[in-house]
Amino acid sequence: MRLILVSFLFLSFSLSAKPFKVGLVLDKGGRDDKSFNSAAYNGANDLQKKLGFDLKVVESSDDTALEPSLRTFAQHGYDLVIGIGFIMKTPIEKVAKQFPKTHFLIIDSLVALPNVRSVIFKEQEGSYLVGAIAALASKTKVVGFIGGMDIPLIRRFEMGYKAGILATQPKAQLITNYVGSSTDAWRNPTKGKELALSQISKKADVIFQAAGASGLGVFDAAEEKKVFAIGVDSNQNWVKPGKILTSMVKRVDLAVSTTIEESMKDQFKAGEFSVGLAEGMVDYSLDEHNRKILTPEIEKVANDLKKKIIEKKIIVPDYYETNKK
Amino acid sequence: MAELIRFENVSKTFGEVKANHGVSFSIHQGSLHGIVGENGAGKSTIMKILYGMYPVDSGEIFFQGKPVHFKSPLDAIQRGLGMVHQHFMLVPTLKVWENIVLGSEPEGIRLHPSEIISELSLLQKEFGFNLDLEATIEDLSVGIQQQVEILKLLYRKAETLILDEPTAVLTPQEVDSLFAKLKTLKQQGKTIVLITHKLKEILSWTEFVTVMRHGAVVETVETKSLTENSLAEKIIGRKQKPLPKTQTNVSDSHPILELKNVSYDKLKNLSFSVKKGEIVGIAGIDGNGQAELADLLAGVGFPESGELCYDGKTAVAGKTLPLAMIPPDRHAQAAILEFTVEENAILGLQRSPRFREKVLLSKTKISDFAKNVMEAFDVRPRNCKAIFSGLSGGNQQKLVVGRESEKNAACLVACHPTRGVDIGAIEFIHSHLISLKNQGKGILLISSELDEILALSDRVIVLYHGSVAGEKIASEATERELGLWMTGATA
Amino acid sequence: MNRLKPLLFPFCGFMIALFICTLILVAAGERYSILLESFYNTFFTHFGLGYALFYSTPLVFTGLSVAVAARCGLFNIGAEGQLYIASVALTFVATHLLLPIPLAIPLAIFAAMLGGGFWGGLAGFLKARMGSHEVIVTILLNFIAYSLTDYSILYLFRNPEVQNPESLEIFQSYRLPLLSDLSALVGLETFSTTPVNVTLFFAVLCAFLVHFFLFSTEKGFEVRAVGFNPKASKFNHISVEKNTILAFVIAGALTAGVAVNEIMGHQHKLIQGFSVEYGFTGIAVALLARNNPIGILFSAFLFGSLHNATREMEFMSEKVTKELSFILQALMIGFVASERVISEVLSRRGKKHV
Repeated sequence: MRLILVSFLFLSFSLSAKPFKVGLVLDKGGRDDKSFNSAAYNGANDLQKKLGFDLKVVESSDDTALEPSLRTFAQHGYDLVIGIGFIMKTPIEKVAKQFPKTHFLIIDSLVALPNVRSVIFKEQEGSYLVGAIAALASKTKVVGFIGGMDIPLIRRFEMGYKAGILATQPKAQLITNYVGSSTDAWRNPTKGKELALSQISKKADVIFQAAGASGLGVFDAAEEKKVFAIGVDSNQNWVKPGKILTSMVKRVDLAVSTTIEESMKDQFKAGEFSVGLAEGMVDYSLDEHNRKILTPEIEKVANDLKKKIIEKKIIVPDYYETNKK
Repeated sequence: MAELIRFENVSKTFGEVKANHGVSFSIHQGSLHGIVGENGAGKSTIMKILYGMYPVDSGEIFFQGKPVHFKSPLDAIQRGLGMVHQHFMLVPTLKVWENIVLGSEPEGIRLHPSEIISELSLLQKEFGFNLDLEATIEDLSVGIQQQVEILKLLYRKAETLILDEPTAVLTPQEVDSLFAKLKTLKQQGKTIVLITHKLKEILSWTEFVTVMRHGAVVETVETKSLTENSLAEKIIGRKQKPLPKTQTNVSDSHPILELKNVSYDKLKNLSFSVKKGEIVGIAGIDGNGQAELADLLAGVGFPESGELCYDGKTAVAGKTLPLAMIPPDRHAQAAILEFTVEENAILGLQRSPRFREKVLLSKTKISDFAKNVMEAFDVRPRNCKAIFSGLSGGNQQKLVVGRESEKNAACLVACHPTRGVDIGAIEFIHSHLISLKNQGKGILLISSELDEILALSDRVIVLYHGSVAGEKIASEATERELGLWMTGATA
Repeated sequence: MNRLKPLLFPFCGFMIALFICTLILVAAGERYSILLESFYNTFFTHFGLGYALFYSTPLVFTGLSVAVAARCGLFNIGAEGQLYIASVALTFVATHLLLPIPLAIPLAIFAAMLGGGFWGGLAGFLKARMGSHEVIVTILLNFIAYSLTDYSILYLFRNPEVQNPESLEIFQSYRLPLLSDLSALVGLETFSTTPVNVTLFFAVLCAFLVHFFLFSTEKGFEVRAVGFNPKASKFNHISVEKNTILAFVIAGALTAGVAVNEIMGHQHKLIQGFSVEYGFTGIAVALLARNNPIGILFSAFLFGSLHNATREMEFMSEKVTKELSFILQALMIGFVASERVISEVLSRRGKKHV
């Protein structure tokens, strides 16, 4: 029995010339979540078509599978292992320590190890812009924010959003709700919709969601009650054309593809990379789906603010910084 | 008389148990044929094979001269056979007429109750039945339910009726009326096969009898040629042992168990006492409070009012009486079928230090104990690791009796101690009860077998609707009189 | 040979499943050897075996938990909740009391058992005294346990440094060594970087302890008696109520092992949602082993290695998605569990030839 097994092994592992190998670990959302995971997957996949390296993508069936997946990549001699999302922080910390020669990329969280690149997006800057847009588009001057899980990362969205609202409409009112405090908060569209409906009943007519799949419920509510919603992470304007005012995009795809490219050219740089409007890594989105609802006047204000932020004439408050003190 | 059914060398094996081997005999058209034998002798099995419930392993069955293989009871019914099982197959929540037509409903989508009822009324008249067709089954007594079963077979045009232990649940009066009915049916040309373990019924009612033992036929003879003793010998394969002599030294001893105006569930104001060295028999039709009395004495229930005294002390709630008990339902209450024989041997005694080795239960001590009990009470096979459910009823019961005797309590409550038990085991258990009495223990014997109560008891109490309907010194009591009390007539 | 017989039919089932799954994989366009490779990696590499054993460890505990309850005639669907309460109790102790190792480890394990046992006992109490059905009670207690765990993580001992809801790290003295660390002490390199730790030994020990409890103590005897026949137990003065509660307390306490494995052995902190339905998988583990404590060691290992093998497969193949790997796992378990069907078919065949 064992003999047969071994001979099978030789058959299957006979061809390997040692190309560059990239392992990408997605969380439970999977490659089709139309948001965070999709962005990472597309970034890596498109580049793979261009440069032709070995790309292996693994979807974790559950949270405990993240660490084994990362470790299996490292064990199998992958050159670069990518983990998407703050949930990867602990697993990457552990695995990166054990495999110091392997390069790692983590998004949205800081792992201070010499073989890990941490890319952190300045979500507050993008949120500031969509806050400004929301306040200007609102007729009732009441706007809403629905966060997924109540964690500092999402508080950061909220804080930037609020600053943007107040910058354009100092008298506007902001209603904030969070779906929950566990990871389930990312996949509860029903609750997302309930929260949105309750905000709408309190006169909110633009709602920004940063709630993963729960945000789809927010879109439903907006469509039903004929108010605007604002998308997050990927450009979600197409999900409900004409109902989604804009999206606060995080270019996770760019972060992934540039890291792969650099790593391939032996130019991998570890450390913390905090990227924002200036690098073009966060932005608000404008396309054919929201062109009609995002007026040129609002667009002009938004672009002005964007310029000022890049020129550091406006410093958007950062939840991480303010809460450190 | 023409031959109706003939078995030739029929054998049937379940796993390793030979239920029937080489069974050959015939049943004549229009006769009342008895099949008698101990529990597990294969009487029911051979009839169930005929009825199409089990396939034969080998051998042939001839029906009206032709070999037949009924694949299911439905096949058998179509050929005019009908069987009343030991446990009735009626739907308790349906009406009598509904139960009768169930399974053989007239064709068509709609039932026409009035047509069916008038048809059934004619049938009743024809065969001398007098049932209320609109009554609901669960409201009827077992005797009446049995009549429903029989009428159901007649409705299906059965020419041959097979009755499996039909009298197990009946009062003496009901037994008489059942046989009167069977006799009428026979006169109308029906063939009747009676499976029973009761000698009296065979002797007084049947024309032919097939005696079975250990799965094989001992003999098929005309009943006329038999006496009770010769029949019993054929059944058990040896002479019956006489019961040991009893000593009567009751009068001066004080009661070990006493109930004073106890009410609990079905029991109403029940008072009686059991003295040391005395056997008190509780007679009555099942369901008149016997089960509740057993619950009460086992500590499963507690008197709602009145007083329960043991050895002069009033019982306290939550504390069980230190008496030994053979519970009424061997399978549900006395033992755990899934356990091994040795585990059942220590059931209830498991906390005793004699089975312990430091803190753990000692396997060897348990086995030794079980082996002793099995030896003393003749439990076969002598394999203490066997699963209890694999034992025959008699051996199961002997183990329970042995275990309870090991408790060495001053009082034994024996509930239906010989129900579903073979004659050998009955003899054994009866003589054991008498020897316990002779040792000065008080015994409360609850049984629905009047013969047993009359043979063993010093005093007989008849239970009816939870109260004492009458009480009598056993030697002065007649079956007839007790039978009347059992149906509610007062003393 | 006779002692191996109970393993023969499950093994046959396994081989049949292997064959059918290979057919499915080939139909999906995969190479025919992939399944064998993944099993080879699972059983014959340090990395694979380490992970398979690591996945098996919690399943031994939850399997035992379900089995003890089942022996008392109870269906414990609450192992999931019980293990969370055990984890909370353990984490509370291990993040608050700075103690030396010889005190810390027993105390933390005891706290976890107390937590799990209490949660199990609660279900037992409600069943025994209030007559509520244990299935409903344990399901509802699971929900309460999840919420209590969330609350504890978020408000009692949250680690404010990280985004993910997880507890503070437990003190150093509460941490259990990995098997790879232990073997390194004697100069061996085993289980490479896998998190399998000494809790595995506890799991094996527990299986034997449970076996002794059930079959060699009067309490175990009574638990089993009640499980088979509560009525007969009552008639023989065995309290159904007390044994129901006892069985549930033990069932709950056993889930503490999951907490020990995860928190003291692996993560060193309590992470929200760490249990991937170990409590529910335990039901299948116990069923497959027919509630035999020693059998549970094998069935847990089967589940653990299957889990690892399908995970390995995802790495080796482009076509095996996580959905397909779930189907393969289900098929494997289904075939192993249908040993009765297989044994019947074989015995019928045998008879015909005779």
